[in-house]
Amino acid sequence: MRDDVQGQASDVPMGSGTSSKEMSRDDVGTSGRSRQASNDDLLNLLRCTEIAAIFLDESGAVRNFTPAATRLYNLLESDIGRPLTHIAHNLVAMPLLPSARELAFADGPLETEVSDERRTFLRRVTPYRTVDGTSKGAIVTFIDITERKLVERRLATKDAVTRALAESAALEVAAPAILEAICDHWNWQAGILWLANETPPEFRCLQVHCAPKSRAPTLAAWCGTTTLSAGDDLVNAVWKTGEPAWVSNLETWLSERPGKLSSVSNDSGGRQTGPEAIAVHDGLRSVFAFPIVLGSRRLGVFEFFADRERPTEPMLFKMSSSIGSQVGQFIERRNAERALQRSHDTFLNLIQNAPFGILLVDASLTVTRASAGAERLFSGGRPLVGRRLDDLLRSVWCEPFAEELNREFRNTLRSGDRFHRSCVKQRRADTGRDEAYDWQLERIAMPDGNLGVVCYFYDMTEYLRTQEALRESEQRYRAVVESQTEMVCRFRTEGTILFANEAYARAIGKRAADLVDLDFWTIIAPEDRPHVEDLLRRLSPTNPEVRIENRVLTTDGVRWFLWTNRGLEFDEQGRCIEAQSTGIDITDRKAAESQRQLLIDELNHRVKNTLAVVQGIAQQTFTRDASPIEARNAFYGRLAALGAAHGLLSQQNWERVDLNNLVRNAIEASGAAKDRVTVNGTSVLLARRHALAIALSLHELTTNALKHGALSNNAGKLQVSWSVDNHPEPTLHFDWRECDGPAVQPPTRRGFGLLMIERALASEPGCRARVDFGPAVFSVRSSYCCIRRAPGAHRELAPRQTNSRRRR
Amino acid sequence: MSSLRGKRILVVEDEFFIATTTCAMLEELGARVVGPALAVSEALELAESQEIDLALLDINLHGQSSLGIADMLADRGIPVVFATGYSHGQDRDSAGRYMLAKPFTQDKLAALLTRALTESNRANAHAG
Repeated sequence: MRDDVQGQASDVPMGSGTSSKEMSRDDVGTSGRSRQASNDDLLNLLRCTEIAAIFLDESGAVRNFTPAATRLYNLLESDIGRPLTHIAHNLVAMPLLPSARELAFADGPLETEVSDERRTFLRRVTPYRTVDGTSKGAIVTFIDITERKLVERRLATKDAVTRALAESAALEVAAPAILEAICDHWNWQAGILWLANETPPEFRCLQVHCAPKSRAPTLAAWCGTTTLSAGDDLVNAVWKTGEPAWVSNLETWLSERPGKLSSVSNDSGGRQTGPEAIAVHDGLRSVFAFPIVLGSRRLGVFEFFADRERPTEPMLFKMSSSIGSQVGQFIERRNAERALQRSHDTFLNLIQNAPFGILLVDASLTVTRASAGAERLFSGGRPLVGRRLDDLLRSVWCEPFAEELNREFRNTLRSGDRFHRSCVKQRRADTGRDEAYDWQLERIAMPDGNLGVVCYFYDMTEYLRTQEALRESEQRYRAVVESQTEMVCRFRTEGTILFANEAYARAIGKRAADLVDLDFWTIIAPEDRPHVEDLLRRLSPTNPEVRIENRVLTTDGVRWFLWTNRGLEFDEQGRCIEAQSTGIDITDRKAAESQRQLLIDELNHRVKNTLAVVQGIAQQTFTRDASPIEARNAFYGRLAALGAAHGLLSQQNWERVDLNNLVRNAIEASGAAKDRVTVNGTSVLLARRHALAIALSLHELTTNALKHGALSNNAGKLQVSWSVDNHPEPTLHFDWRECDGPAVQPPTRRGFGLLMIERALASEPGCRARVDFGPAVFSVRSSYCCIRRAPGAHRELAPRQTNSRRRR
Repeated sequence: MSSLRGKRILVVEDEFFIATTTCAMLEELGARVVGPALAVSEALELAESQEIDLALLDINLHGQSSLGIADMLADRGIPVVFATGYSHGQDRDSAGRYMLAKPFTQDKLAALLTRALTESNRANAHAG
């Protein structure tokens, strides 16, 4: 505005030429001593004042001026008579002087504000009036109103800021108005509001304001995308010190900071990038920044830029601290309000959804207040307040509970006794569902002075349901565990039994309840403990199961069990501290296993023994004097006899064999004609160790009878007989008699057969069979004692005494 | 087999054929057989009364163990070799006893009996 006026002001003279000359003439014409004196007085008075005053004649020419006026206009004594518009001035702009006509019609002085670089003046143009009242020229005075203007601007700014904050719910809303007010009133081209983030020093630009017609496009764009972190820039400096800062000449200031001004997120190379460095690109020359403070805390920074160098302005410093704290308090209050709102919302939310309700009834038992929970529970769509309690209760609960509760309300109201009942499960009249509540009634004083009852109730339905479900699942679990035939036991690995099922207790021979807390090492066979401990130590989170076979001390004696142990809890080192064990009794299996091992060992022994026997037979058969073919045939015959005896033994569980069978077998195997052989004997069971020897002996006897004895001709007879004599002890008498055979010639050598008969038939000491080669008869007599092992059991026979004769 | 020549060897074996074979083998080796005893009672009698350099005992005599006989022989400082069908192929079992696996050959019999005699003599020499 000033710029526009300035051009005209220098060219256009004040008033008209005529009126100016008139005024001057009149002044000269009225000179007199007294008047001259008074005139001098006035001039002296004017000289003494600091008021800049310039007297103009009717033509606008300078008639006189006070010394103070020379500070504004370059006036010299010689300038008197020249038009004021021709005189150079120090002000930024000088508006046109009013015309004489304007002055004449004006009510009072015509005032205009003018200013130089630093100060503001009120220019007052007053008509110069003579004593007779005619107007002769004008007086132009300049009053320094700089201070007043500053105060006005400060007030206006504060007013704008206060209004903006008062009318805004958030700083985001208030920020544009605050920045605009400060820029407008204090001549800044750009203003930025930086807010410290949660993790300072880090700032985000909340708002950028650019004055109309000012150009700061780079700065505005840059701020909108930047988060400012710790650096050497002015924002950080102000935030750190908490004091306002002023930079009159940005370029000089920046040149003193060759490093990075601020480490900003979109930093480019090593160039200076703080807001101040950016501002220089936009032609901005000076900057003023001040903090937003709350007590000792700094919440942010205001920063303002001007397009010219500006010396420090103390008034702005003064004002900044009050605006800084005003905004600080605003932020704090808004934060507190938000927190309060949040906590209120949370609380409300809790109340609304809480499983409890509050119902207030007055002395007439009418509902006066109800919480949201109560509404939800009872209302069924109708408002609760105003309803009668008994109606309400009956609509919700079945009798007799509705009436019962109603009675409790009345009782509490009358007596003041507190009523409390837990987990009352009742059927609802409206929904038909069972629900459980905790009820609590208390008498209170109502605001109107009467008594009332407040009812608190808690919905326990879900709680009860959960509990029941838990109980059911526990029962199911117990039923499953108890019905197991397997033993189940839960224990800590140091030994404490935590749980044992019925099967476990039965197996141990104790009551299940007595087993809990028992040290289970006391029932484990001591010799198995190291083994069990070692295996339990192998339980780990990665190997949670081990099988253990061990002996347990039960009331029925020591029994074997097979356990599957599962680790349930482990300590920090991964060692099992609690485990569950499922076990079965494997005592029978263990016995069978050891029986089987015994049998294998025995079989092995017998096979080897039999082989040794075969070795013996071979050694006895293949002698030097026997022909190879004869020996081979004899060997085959003996092996066959041995095999047949084994066959008979295996039919009898490898333990005993009937002598009858042995004899008949031997004779049948020889192929002897049946009509020439008589067998006469009872059934006698022989022990295995005798059976083989007797079988081989019978083989030798039969072979001998066929080759050389009674069965070698057509007339000979063979009689085999035996009997058992039970007194004084069971004794077997065996008799082999051949008659009517060829003449017997005693052998030249005691061969295998004879040896067999003589010794094998009596393999106990002192019991020897005797073979006699008589002239006509070949006979073998032998006796064995029968040992009765158990009453009614088969008798085993052992040779006792040999009484054999050989006759012929 | 000169080491066994003239040695008096007690044979205790309940199986007649094995006893016969064993005795024949020993006699061929030049040893003098004491017995053979076919039962525990007979064996005890011989072990007590006869002059014996070495004993060959069947470990199982009609279901009776021959360990009692072995103890008696050990008391007299007579080395013992057990013949057994239960053997596991080792010359000495875990208790250090000489074990002869049945059936055995004459060489095997000679070797083990010789070893038992030699080691026993050495032990007795040390003790003496």
